[in-house]
Amino acid sequence: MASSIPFEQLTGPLVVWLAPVGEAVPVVNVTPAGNWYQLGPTDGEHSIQHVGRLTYFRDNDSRGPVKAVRPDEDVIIRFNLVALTLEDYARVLDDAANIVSAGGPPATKKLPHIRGATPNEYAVLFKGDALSPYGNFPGQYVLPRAVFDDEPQPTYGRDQRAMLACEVHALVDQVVAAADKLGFLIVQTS
Amino acid sequence: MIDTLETVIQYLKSDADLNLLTGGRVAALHKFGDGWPIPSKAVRVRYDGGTPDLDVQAQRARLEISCFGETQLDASKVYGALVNVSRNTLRKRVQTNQGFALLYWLLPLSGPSFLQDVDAGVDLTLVFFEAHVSELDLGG
Repeated sequence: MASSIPFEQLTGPLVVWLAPVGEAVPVVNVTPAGNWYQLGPTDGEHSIQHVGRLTYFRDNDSRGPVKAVRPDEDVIIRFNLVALTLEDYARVLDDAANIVSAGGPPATKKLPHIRGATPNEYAVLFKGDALSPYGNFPGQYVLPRAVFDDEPQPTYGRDQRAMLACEVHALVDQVVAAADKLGFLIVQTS
Repeated sequence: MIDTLETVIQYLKSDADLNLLTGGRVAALHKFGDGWPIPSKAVRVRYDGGTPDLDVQAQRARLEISCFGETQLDASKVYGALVNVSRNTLRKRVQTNQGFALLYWLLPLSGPSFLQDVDAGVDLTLVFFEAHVSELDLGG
């Protein structure tokens, strides 16, 4: 008996890619190139949250809700980054352009802590080699415009690995098609 | 129903590096003295319980995997090849006698332990894994 049902159950981690806002989104089954930058290894689970609880309205004729609206909606990606190169660290805090390299000796790279009032914006891909529920194909979440939120707190210790808790928050992109302005999920089907 | 143990064994046999290292000696029972040289590199995969998937037609099995070798160092090499296989296992299609299986993952549950097989006297690295396999034939 042939069945596609097994593929409908998605398993496996995703990979995070960043680029300047406006960078062309790669085809779903192609490894990003050009200005796309792959963030290093992550630890644990990756999640994408579709935020947007409804507000219900009632009238005097019934105790149940008669109308529902969604006053706010957000898309938030969360993961823990364990690659702590300054290039990765800087992108999470704000921008890799903040790194200052010096020839030394000793040669150094410096990452200022200050994040600034206005966060740097990125285009974000959340790619999975087996993210398609239609077969053994890849897929990707696309956020055309997003910022790093949260307050990362790398913690150092003898028996633990420091990591950056990352929260990528989508922003509305008015340049792309209206349906895609908070991003989209695209998967390969054949 | 797709056989989980066969799926894992066939999948391990299909890995070029592990196959080269072990000479294709991957089975549910070891065959030392019955075709397998003593000692030699090999892999034995056995069921070891696990937590059943109650709602979906998939098997989540805990596996006891013995990585045999001529010495502890050789057993470690087989273990290393097994770990490499697990790093790349993500929803793999595997051919079995019951049809095409979908192996969602094959991941280690423990670190390695050095032991020796009592009967054959062959060094081995013991490790526990978990496999998640669809019960349904993918077809084609």
